[in-house]
Amino acid sequence: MNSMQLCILSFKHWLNDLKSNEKRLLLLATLLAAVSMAMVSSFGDRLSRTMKHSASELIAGDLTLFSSRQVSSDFIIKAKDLGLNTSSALGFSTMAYANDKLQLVRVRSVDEFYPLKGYNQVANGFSYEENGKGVLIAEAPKPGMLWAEERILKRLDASIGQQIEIGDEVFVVEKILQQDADRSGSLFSPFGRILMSKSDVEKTGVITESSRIWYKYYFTGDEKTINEFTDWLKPQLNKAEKLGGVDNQQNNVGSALEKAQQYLSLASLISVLLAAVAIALCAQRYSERHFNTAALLRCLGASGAQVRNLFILKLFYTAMLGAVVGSALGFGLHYWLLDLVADVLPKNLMPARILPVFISMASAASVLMLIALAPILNLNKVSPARVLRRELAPQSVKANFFFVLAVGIMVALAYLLTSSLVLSLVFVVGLAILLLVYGILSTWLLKLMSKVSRFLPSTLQMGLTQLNRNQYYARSQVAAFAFIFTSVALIWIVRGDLFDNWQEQVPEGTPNHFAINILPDKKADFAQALKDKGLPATEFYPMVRGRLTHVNGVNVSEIYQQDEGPEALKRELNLTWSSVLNPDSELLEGEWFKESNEDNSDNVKDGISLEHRLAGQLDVSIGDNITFNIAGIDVVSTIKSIRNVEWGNFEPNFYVVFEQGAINDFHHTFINSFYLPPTESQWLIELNQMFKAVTVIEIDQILKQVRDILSQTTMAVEAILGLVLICAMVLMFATLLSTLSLRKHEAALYRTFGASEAMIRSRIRSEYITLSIITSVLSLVSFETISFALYYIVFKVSWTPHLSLWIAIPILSLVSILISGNFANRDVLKASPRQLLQEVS
Amino acid sequence: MLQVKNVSKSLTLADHTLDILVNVNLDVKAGESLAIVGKSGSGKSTLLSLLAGLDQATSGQILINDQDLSIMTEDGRAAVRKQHVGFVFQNFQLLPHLTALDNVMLPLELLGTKNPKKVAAEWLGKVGLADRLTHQPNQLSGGEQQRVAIARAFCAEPDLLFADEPTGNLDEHTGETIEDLLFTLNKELGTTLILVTHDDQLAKKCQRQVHLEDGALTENVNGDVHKAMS
Repeated sequence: MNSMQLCILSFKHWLNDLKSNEKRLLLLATLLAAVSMAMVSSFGDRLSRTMKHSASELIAGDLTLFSSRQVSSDFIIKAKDLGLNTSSALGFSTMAYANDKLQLVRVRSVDEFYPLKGYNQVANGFSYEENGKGVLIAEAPKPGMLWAEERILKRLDASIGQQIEIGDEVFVVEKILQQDADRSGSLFSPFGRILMSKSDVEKTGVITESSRIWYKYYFTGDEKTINEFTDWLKPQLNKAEKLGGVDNQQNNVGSALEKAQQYLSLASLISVLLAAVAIALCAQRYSERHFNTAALLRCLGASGAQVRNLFILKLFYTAMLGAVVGSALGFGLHYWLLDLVADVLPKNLMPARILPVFISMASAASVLMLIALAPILNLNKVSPARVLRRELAPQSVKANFFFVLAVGIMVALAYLLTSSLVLSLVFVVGLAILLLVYGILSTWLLKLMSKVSRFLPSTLQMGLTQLNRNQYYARSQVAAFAFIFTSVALIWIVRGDLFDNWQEQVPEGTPNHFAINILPDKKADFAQALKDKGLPATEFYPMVRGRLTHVNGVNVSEIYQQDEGPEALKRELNLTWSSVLNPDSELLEGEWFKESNEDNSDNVKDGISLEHRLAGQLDVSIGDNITFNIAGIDVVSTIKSIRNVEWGNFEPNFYVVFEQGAINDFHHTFINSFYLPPTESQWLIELNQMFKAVTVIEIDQILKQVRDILSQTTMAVEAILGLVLICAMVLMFATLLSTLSLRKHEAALYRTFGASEAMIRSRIRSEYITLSIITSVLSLVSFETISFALYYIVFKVSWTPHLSLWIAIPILSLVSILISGNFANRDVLKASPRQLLQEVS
Repeated sequence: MLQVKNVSKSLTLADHTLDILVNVNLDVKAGESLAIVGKSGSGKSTLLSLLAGLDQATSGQILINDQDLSIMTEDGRAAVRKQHVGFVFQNFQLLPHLTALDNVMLPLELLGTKNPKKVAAEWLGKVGLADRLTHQPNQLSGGEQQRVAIARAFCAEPDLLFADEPTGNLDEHTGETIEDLLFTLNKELGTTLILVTHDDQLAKKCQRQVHLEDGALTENVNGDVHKAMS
């Protein structure tokens, strides 16, 4: 028999085999693993690429090059040679003049190609006017025109169509700039921004050799070319030249989607693990069911290698069918998943790639092949004499090698889905340990229950007797069921916590407006205005502008070369003071300022609390001195604490918080945030007239975007939960089927000896009830232990028992085991004793 | 065709050795039919598995067509079975997931015979199951299943056919029909038949009968009992 004939023979046998329950479950488990992986990895792949792409819209290009001097023209020539699109900007600060008023402004002058990516958000009127609604346009101001932020115009008493002078040139205000395509720069900068054409800069005459100016170059192109250009460029850059890429760290939207994606990956991993355990169980039973086939083939003259290859080929066909169909299905379903979150995804979603589908296909097929191979190789060891003496079972092959391979591939898969080696190892090794612990604990529980069985109801006594007779099967069933309920419960509570976490991020009534430049003498009036309107007056934070000049007495210009060092050193910082720690901030080192005794005039109030990342960049710690220059005066401060700041909480946040009393005497304004229902936006006009100096910044759109994303990702999370449940059901059936032949044998004998169908039904039911009780106890113990560890170690939050699950798990366990048990055993109950005896013989 | 020389089979148990067969000798010529009879537990099935090369003897030699099975590997013995041996079992041993036709095709496919489907269909016709080709074992009666098994045993035209209680699972009438079919085909093809049974009537249909008791073989020749020696 040649290889081709063997392939055809095995294929024929495989087709016929598809009618068996084990084969169908093997196929279904492989298919589900592939569906889960292909769906989540295709979804994740497109989402992360799109997020990266969207993030690039926030910096107006895929790559930026920032410099305080003009860069070599070779850089631009090389970029163009490679086929990249380029654009450039020149930035400087200067005075704008109109209506006899002067205002310091930050100017970004751009060429006609700006922005290469993303949009400028502009309006044709003030935000409280009818034509004040922002529109997105991908174009730059034309020569002679400028786009200015609302606050500049208000300070200059100017409006659209009027003229503003910058240096020697007069410009017409064409539009109000709401958001620049390049979002770099602070939203709360005291000076407004102006966007104008680069070709006008020379005419203004404001740029001299001593001017502090900066250059920024933008590049776009495909990922490969961008990488090629970056590799070429990097070694040639001097210290003043900095490359910028996509950084999504402080983006709430990105972080919510990222968390959802992590959850989907974890849920997908759990579904794959459930499928893998189902595969292991089915393969074991499939192998046992084919001892006779293997013996007959050996008897008819097939060599050991032929028998082995025949079964491996059959396994391969199953793997291929399950993996190919599953991956294709998963790929199709990822469109459905995307559709669920379609409204919140960028319109220019990155196209699907075939790579994640291929990886899923290969992974699902490998899971089946490696896990099922050890039991299948047992078939190779079946003695041909088994055709005459059925009791001859093969010696088990040494499965260690395959076990290690299977664990290896599970870790690799976990890594593929979670991108964390530690998490992957914890998951897979944890699963192995968990299954082992279940086995040991179930034996103890059975023994314990047997000791007190006389005090138990008769149903449980009967169930215990049944389980004790077949302890091996009892253990494996308990382990599999406990694994199912623990996984489902964990996925359920993590999902709940995720939703709560999102809800907390943008709860109802989250401030949707920031008010800045509130003068101290207007603070009370402003608070009263909010109160009169029925809006809760939130905390007013004082703001003082200051530049960080010295660290431990050394000038920062001596520590860092020009344009090196943290961004915080390059601009004035918003400084504040407070006697209490913001509830969203976490103290990492040191202590918060102590309440000082007012009478003690000797008490030096120079303490500051520093944001931890800035502390890291400055390489300072508790006790170090930092000097700020505030309005020309040097203020020396001592670091008292280092804290983590929650930048994404839609509240004013500060790098530096001073001790109460340290900088109170400097000129300061207040910043405040409040929630104004969208229907009341007309009130802003009134507010503007009452407090002309105050600038109100709306963040309604940002909040709405975050809310939409959260609610829609919730649906995606529910969808993956459904998939986990399907995998759990498959594992449940696989587990029940693993004892089916034993049950058939018993039922056949009982029926032959005169037992009624009702009696057999009652025996099976009592066994399942006992099983579900033991399973519930183990599931709850393991679930609470794991959740305790998760809360304390991973989430670092306090833990309380999940009492609702103490009721839900036993009910779910009892109902699901009884229903699926009845379904799996329907043949045992309905078939005649003769049929049953024939089947088991 | 088949030579058995001083074959013994024993099992090592925890505290002692159990002798199942002791110094068995037998010589069966080509075309002969031989019945092995004996009580349950006398070692008939063990002897059959040794003769067919399904198991290995503790000592002694078994030769099929002068090929010594005792020095062969399991794969070597499988190759001998494929080329020279056919089987009919008491419990039919049909693969439940395959049709009658596929079951009969199995040894032909293992042998690499050309057009196995045609040959198998012809053999199913010979045993009277031309209209049952696509039926699966559970759709056939016991007699029909054994006919499929007989077709499977003969289709590769083996030199040596082993039958283990071929009518043991069948009623008297069906059993007789199967016996007739077995002996007719055996005669037509000139196959050497070795049959294990406890049915004296069936045994008498064979040219020779040997009796297995306490692990030793005796031959009944014209009513006299002799130690079964060549």
